[in-house]
Amino acid sequence: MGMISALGRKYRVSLPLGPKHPPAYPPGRSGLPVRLCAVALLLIALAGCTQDSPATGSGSPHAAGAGKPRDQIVVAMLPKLTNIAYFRACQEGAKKAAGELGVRLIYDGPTDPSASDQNKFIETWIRQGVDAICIAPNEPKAIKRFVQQAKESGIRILTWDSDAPDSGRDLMVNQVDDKRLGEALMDEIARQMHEEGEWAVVIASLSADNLNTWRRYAEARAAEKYPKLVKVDTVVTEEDVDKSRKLVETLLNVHPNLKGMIAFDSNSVPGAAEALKRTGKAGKVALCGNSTPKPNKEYLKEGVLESFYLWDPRQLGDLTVRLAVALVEGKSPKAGESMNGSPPLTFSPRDATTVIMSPEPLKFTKENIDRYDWGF
Amino acid sequence: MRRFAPPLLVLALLLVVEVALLAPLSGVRSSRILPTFGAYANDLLIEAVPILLLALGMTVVLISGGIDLSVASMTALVACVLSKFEPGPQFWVTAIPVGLALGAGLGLANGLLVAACDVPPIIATLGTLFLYRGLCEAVLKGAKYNPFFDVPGYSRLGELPGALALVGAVLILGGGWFRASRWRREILMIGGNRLAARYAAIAVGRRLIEVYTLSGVLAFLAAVCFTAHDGSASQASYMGLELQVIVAVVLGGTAVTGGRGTLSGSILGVLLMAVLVEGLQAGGSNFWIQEKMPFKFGNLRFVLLGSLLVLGVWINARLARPSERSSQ
Repeated sequence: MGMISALGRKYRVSLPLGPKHPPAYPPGRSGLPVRLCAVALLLIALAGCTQDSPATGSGSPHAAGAGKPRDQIVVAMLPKLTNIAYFRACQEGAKKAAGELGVRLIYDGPTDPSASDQNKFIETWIRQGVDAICIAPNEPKAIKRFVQQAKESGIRILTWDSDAPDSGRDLMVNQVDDKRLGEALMDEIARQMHEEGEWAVVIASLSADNLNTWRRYAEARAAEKYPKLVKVDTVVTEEDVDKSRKLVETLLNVHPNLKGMIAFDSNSVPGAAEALKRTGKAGKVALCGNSTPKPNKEYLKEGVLESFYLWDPRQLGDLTVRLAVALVEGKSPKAGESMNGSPPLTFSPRDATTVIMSPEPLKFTKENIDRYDWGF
Repeated sequence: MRRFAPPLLVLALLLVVEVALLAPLSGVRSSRILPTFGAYANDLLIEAVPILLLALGMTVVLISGGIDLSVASMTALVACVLSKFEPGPQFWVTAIPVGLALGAGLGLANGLLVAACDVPPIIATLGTLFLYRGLCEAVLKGAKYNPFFDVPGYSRLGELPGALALVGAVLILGGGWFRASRWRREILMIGGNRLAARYAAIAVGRRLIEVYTLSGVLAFLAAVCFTAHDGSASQASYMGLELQVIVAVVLGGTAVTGGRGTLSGSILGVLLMAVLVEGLQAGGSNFWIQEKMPFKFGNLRFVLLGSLLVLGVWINARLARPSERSSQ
């Protein structure tokens, strides 16, 4: 800039973008702020015209939703992160349910599994005055304050996928019976390892409630039933396939006698399988876990992976929206009843505010994988 | 530091425009303007306070002709170490002094690298960016500890009055002293012409060490604000925040080449940034925008941050006084 204006001074040309010169301080300067002022006023006027469009429209946002027509109900859903296949599948189900019920759905969240980013979304939605917020918390303890704030504004709070038990949430929508899944995983890996040897845990985070509840049930099962199994390590993969692959490769180097791994989340399984394949340990080290069909299909067929578990994530999104709308409408879900077109509800034997979607998880093997062409 | 110099006036106007455009997305309604705008401003300021603390440190570093890329990693490391302490009243007498000493120590290490070992600031702090982030992982080992909400009185710092009191104290005491100090003029001179500063008998190395240590101490304060509000810290916390801080400071009229910059400009820069980030997030849950836009609104974040930076720097260059312009 300095050079251009120096040139301008020398040759007495005025560049349209360059600063006006010479000094020109007071007169030349006042133009821009004044013009900006005018633009500002114009924009404020414009903003005034469009401001009835945000989330809830002009209706009084914090009124109890019981008497609200369906198309005024806004359900906000917060996944752990938005850009992985599992949560996109949940979104698909949620969208479909919202369409059928005629309610409005916001499905948004952070791009990394971060607690503080999730808190920002909750704060924004409280201000926008949505009717229900469904949270899959990354950090159960960190959402407590925001849950309380939301409840003070009359917003119903559900947790789904992963729980925050002490946060004061109204309802938890759990995809499986945690105890059964944890034990099923342990039994499966123990069978593949012939009930002896070193095993390790591969998990997205050590604070997500769902993954770690399964991990605890699996470890408890090992302690109780399989005394010859020795847990040697825990690898934390942060919901990232590539990171999971690298960490598992290191793990395999560090523990040459490793015989098995349980990978507790959808990204850890394909990452660990790829690591087994690349290090040539496929078939020598057993692997099982929870994941989605598409990324693991090839590994199943090649025999790198013998089996893994899941539920239908679309059904989870669907059920969560139906229950959220039921809560907003003032209904209280009961065992065995159907809510807004959901299948009959099952509650957890250990917690009366936890709905369990599918008591038995689906088990994917080489034989049945072709039947589940979900596209994720 | 000119009082209300024209660049600041333009930034303030830009802020007004931005708020007018983006506040309605965040639930501010003309029918209930006071309560809704109050809630908006409340959340916005809480988000902005820790970034502002980092930006104050960054301003001084940039004025001195350096740069501190490690601020976000320093903040995360302090937060991770704080999170390892047991909650309870003793947190205040154990964790807080340790955190303060750690923040100052990390900053001091940067300062020594720059001043004593003569490593270029951008390389030195890029190195410590990775080093401190790696230490976060070593400290937490993938686990998460969240004692913050259980420490009595700690979460007050995450609410508006507490956070404002903290940043107000820093600004009034620190900023007030800074403005009139010989120290500030020496830093300006070091940033403007290091060699001349040395010939003028300014203790250049010592000043630089002080500048980076200050940045570390402010990172500690920011870590306190962040954790008091969020209640948690992880090894991935605040990743990429250093870039936001630098954008805010440069937007506020501080020259990356050193020798020019004001704290008040940085305050406006941080606010501009906070409003934009919040607005983009709120836009993601706006039905009108969702229907009209072919892509996710939040994905515009970096596009707009980048545009804001370029626009801000252009306005600043255009409005800088001729004498300052020629020094660029």
